[in-house]
Amino acid sequence: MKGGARVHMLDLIKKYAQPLSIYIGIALVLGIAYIGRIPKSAAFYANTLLGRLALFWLTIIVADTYSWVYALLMALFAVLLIAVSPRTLEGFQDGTDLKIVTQKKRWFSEEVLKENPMGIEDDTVKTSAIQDNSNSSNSTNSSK
Amino acid sequence: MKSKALQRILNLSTEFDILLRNIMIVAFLTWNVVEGSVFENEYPYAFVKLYTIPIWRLLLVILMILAALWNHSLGIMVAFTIFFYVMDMEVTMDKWK
Repeated sequence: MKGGARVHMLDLIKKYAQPLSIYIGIALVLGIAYIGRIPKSAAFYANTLLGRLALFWLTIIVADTYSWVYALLMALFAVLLIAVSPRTLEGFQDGTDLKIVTQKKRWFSEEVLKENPMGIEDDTVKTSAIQDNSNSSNSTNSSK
Repeated sequence: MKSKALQRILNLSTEFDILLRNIMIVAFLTWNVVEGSVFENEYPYAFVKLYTIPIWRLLLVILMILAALWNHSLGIMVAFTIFFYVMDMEVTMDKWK
């Protein structure tokens, strides 16, 4: 970039560099304080190879661009995000399974308790069998 | 005469600062080894109750920033303490959800 546009761009970057660093600092502090509120799906992607690469790369970028304290905050946020992320998807999935009640006929217990449900949460539970991925066999071989 | 006295006070102040810094580093190091790095070791009751309050967690992060500004080693130790504490609390809360 040459000429006046370059100067304008540099001016703009200089002008907003300080507020940007403050925003990043606030975002990192809030991110650490509210690490448990980050959705599990997003945290799960943070624990993938690409997610971890991105987090560590961001830590290096922050250390290069901003101060040591910012790098420490970014590193803490990265390791916390990886630590709280779900390792595997378990047998009982945590997905939303909502069924709207369309039948007018109510169950006996609903009539007695005067309940009028509009929907049923967790109508079906998804499960998966335990997988044995190890190569070891249960049989014992003895060779003499 | 005055400058000598001032120099002595400044020297004492620096020595006291170094001593205090080292005490804090050793204290946080011990906490991390004994309490933080072993998941089974239980935290004090107040720490468990306070974790749910967002202001407490924000104060911990501010403490880490102040520690890092004071001394790099202390900042790292406090960061470790916060990491172990938050991770243990989150994992425990997730299990009992």
